[in-house]
Amino acid sequence: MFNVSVGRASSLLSEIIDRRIILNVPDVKLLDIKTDEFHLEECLPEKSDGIFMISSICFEHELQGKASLIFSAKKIRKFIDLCIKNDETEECYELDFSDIDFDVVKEMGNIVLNSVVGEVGNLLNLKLNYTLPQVQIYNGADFYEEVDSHYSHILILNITFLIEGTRIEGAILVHLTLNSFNDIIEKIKKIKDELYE
Amino acid sequence: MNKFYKALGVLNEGIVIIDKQLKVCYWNNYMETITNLTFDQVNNKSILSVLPKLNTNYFKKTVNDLFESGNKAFFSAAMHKDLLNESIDYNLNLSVIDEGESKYLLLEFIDVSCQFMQINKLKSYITELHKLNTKLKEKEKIIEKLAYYDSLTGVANRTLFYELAKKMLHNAKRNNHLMCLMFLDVDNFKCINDQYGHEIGDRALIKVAEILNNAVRKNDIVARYGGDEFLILLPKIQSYDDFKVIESRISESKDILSIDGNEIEISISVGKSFYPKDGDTIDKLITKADKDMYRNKRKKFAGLLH
Repeated sequence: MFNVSVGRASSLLSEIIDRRIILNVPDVKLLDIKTDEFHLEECLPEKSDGIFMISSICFEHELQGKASLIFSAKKIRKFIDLCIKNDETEECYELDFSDIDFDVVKEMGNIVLNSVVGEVGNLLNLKLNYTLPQVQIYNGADFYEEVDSHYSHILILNITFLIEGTRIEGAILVHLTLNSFNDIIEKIKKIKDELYE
Repeated sequence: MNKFYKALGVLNEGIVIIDKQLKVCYWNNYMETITNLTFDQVNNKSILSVLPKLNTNYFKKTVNDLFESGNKAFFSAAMHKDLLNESIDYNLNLSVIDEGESKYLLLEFIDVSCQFMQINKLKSYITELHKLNTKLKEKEKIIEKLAYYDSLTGVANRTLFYELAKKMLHNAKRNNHLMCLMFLDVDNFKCINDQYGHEIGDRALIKVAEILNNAVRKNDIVARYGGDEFLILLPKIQSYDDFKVIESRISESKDILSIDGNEIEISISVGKSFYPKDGDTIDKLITKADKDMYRNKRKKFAGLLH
């Protein structure tokens, strides 16, 4: 399901930057915040230095949650350079991000998160309303402290961008309230039942 | 409603409203100024023909999605160059306006050229500073090298030798290790200088340093003590005879310098001293090794040493 939605996002991104992008969701996990231990660093397959660039949107009303696209700061620099065709970033400002960089991540987050959250909405037959992403730099612990305590579950999607031979790994976290989580589980059960009927 | 249009008209950003057929319904003063197209000229015309840079598949797909979902989209100036003209960079926000049965799309063109200019300026300053810093670091290394290394031969100078030797002696005392100090002198160096000149003499010293560096172990220290005298410190040796391995490597590597048809044989006399047997300070060890070297040199020239 998510591979189809990120497939749409990748074709849009490919057209925009005029470079072939392949997006994959190789792994999906669902965590219960109360019982499962969660560390942001563990969402990303590669070891990071704990600094992340996170692009987040919140959705409200019928389904409540927060979706975040997460990259380690080092990886996102490479990604930004590829998007704006800046072939080489000077070592001196490799980890300094400008407003221009934030805008690139905002646009990319908008496209990818729209696809994923839109898919969740489609699954539940709900029309979800959300604003443009907010992009911020966090260290892992700070991000976790900011996440609202009324969320009960996290849907974790590992995501891989392949741009002209360069592999960039990130993650999408969808924080859900208990009711929204139950709605999704209910819907998945229905889909499963329909499949076996 | 006129009030709202008037408000949009005076905004210092480009505002365009299009309908579901992508036809322009509103075009504010800013858009007129920046494109040189009046509202009357663009009214009811497709935005794709009015602003040809938007005539792309991804723009059309995005607009269709927005009319369906009612959400917002964002085009960054860095990824979408020259949206309105070539001299100004614009971010573009797209939002759906619901008006009963009808839906419209609001396009906001926000000038971010100043950001681009300032960031580029900052980047160029940072790049300059980075280059300057790299140069300074290189110079610092050169200065350090001049302070601690012999400029002719590249081996440690007397200052660095004393600094390192003191530390190694301290370690040897603490861990009860044996340590060997070798004093080396180039035979007949004065004759080489007198006969062939100082330039050749210098080349001979460079060759000697090369021979010594090749003979020692990784953590041993080779230093130029002064003139044609060199020191080698062998920390952490197992027995008094261990230095013989190094000594034999040095004596075996007698080298011939070929200069202007002349062949100059370089030979080196070696003396040694050991901690703790011969002294418990670096100066005592040097004095002892120096005396040993002269004794050996005399024997060598007297033809007593084989």
